[in-house]
Amino acid sequence: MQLQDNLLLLLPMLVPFIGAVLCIFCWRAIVIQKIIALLTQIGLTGCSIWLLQHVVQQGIATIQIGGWPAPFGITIIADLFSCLLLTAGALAGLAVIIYSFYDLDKPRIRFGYYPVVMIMQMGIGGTLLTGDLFNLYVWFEILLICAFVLITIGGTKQQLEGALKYVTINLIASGLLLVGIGTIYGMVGSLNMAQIAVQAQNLPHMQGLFVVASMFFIVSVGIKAAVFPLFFWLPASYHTPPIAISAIIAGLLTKVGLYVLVRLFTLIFKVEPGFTTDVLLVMAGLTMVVGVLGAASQNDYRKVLSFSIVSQIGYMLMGLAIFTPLAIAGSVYFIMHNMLVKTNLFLVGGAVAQEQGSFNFRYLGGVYKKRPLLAIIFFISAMSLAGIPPFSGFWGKFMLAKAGFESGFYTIAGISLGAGVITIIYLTKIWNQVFLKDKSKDIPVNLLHKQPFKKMLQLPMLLLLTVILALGIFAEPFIHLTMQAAEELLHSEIYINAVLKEN
Amino acid sequence: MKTIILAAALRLFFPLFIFFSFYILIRGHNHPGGGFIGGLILVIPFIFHVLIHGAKETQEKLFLKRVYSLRRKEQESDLGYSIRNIGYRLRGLIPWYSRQDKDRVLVKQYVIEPLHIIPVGLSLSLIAGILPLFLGEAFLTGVWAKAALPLIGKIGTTLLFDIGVYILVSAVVLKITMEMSKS
Repeated sequence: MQLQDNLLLLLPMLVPFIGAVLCIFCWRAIVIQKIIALLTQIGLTGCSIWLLQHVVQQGIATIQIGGWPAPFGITIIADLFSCLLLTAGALAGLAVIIYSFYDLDKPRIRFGYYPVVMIMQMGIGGTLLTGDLFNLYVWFEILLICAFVLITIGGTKQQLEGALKYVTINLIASGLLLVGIGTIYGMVGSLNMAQIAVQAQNLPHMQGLFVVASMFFIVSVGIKAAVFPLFFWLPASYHTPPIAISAIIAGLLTKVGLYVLVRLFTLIFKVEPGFTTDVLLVMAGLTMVVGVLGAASQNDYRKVLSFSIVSQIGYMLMGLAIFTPLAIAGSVYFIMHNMLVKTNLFLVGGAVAQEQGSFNFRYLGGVYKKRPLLAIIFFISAMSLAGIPPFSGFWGKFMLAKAGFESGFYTIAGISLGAGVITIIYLTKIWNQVFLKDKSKDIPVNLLHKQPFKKMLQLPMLLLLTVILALGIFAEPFIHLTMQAAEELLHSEIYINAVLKEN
Repeated sequence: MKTIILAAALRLFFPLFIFFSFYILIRGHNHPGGGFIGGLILVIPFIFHVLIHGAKETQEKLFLKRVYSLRRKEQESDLGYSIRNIGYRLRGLIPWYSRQDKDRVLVKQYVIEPLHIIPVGLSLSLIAGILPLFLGEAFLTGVWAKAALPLIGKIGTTLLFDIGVYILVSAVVLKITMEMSKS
């Protein structure tokens, strides 16, 4: 094996890890930590794009850790789906890192913000690239533990309250996930996902047990991805930490959970008409409706966006439930688009709050007159999220709705369109309350302590905006890529052959 | 909780625990043991030290590093003085070697914190993973030296990885102990 082939798949994990180690070495020197973090993140983005290009040209790439052959050792595997998400995640992370230079307070940086973010990136890379079920669990735990640390960093009362809910519910979810993995291991005696997929086809008399195991995964990963009955921890905790933290958690974490669902349900548990499809459809529909109604009823910038995360998760789940190539491609496209757009909206909120000292609509206003550039960034990102034609969200929703109507799932497609309308309503509400309306006169004194506005804050947002615009306006190559990714996902024998070919 | 019996016993057991943890670390290749357990055993005497004397005293007694220099002679050139000092520092690396107190002056002192040790362990493990890549093997493959050392046996990258874990685990547990006893 060549060094380059070997290294390429590992770089998305190694680069952030090396960055984190160097950051811990320079624990006291904040400036050096910032430089390392920036370089690492740029390197990670570069590696992800390199890997994506490699996978586009040469198909699925695999390596075996430690040289142990496939069903026994741990496989690292990159297909189009994971590479696309990896690239989107790295870009969102890059924007948040640049943003944090100008917004995050010193005590939080001293407490190790950068090393923890780096390790979280490593966890995301690992989750997306691993081909081993238990390894997947470990990587997921790594990134969740980093999220616990990030949410509690700084230790304000509000943060600890949010973190308590977050940690408790996620620990229960991890327990359930472990039970699911144990069930699968007990049935097929392997943890390699490709091997499990082969065995699942060979054991028709165990289909019932596979459905039981799949329910464990739906519940546990569903908690982590915040789908309908299990989402309540998310709006309760995501709005508490500062924006540089909540943006990266909100942008990446739930989507990684959704990645796991899509990966498992395309590879191991096929979504067959009947029980699983019904469960997924009901969950998707209710997630959309509840999330969107929650968002429309809130009066705090971060809370609106937190509920909005929940509603968007519903769309991604809807694609999985419909389970046609177009629907899966729509899901993939939607996850990518959402990682970037949601991060950008959070960052805009942070910039607004930095100047005005609050996230509450009552005390905000007049941003459009004062900061037109910021307003334009918000406007375009919001229109992307709502799915107005030239922008990126439109293509995702279009693909999903079209797939829904084509395969006869009229109810869910209708719900998704209705939820889209309410999305526009709550985004218009933010636009009116924060950007257009004049600032109210009676503002409490403690909010008057504002920081001067730093123009550089707009740099990462412009970076993300460029990507979002490219994703929307030059949609064709991206849609083509997601269609290819969906074909790969639905023809799981490509994945299985790539892993097991060597023996 | 300052008890004389415990303090005296700890003094006896301190080297014992350290040697036993080394033993467990090296034994771990083919038997129960290894870096994780070894690291935990290494921390036991330190935890007892914290329990008996308190975190502050532990830090001062065990983790305070003092850097000494030689006293400067009259009319000595900068170069000659620094060469003499380098020689002195090198000799200082030999265990149990120390100079008469009147010859040296305290230049600076600092506390070695667990936080400084954590990345050392991480990077050792990382190097153990990356090394085989340059020999054309897969990531984390065990690469073994041809010759075997007495007592330890064959050494390879797996041992390096385990040493990294050993350092990391002991530093992390030490950090947790220190923080909890402070608050």
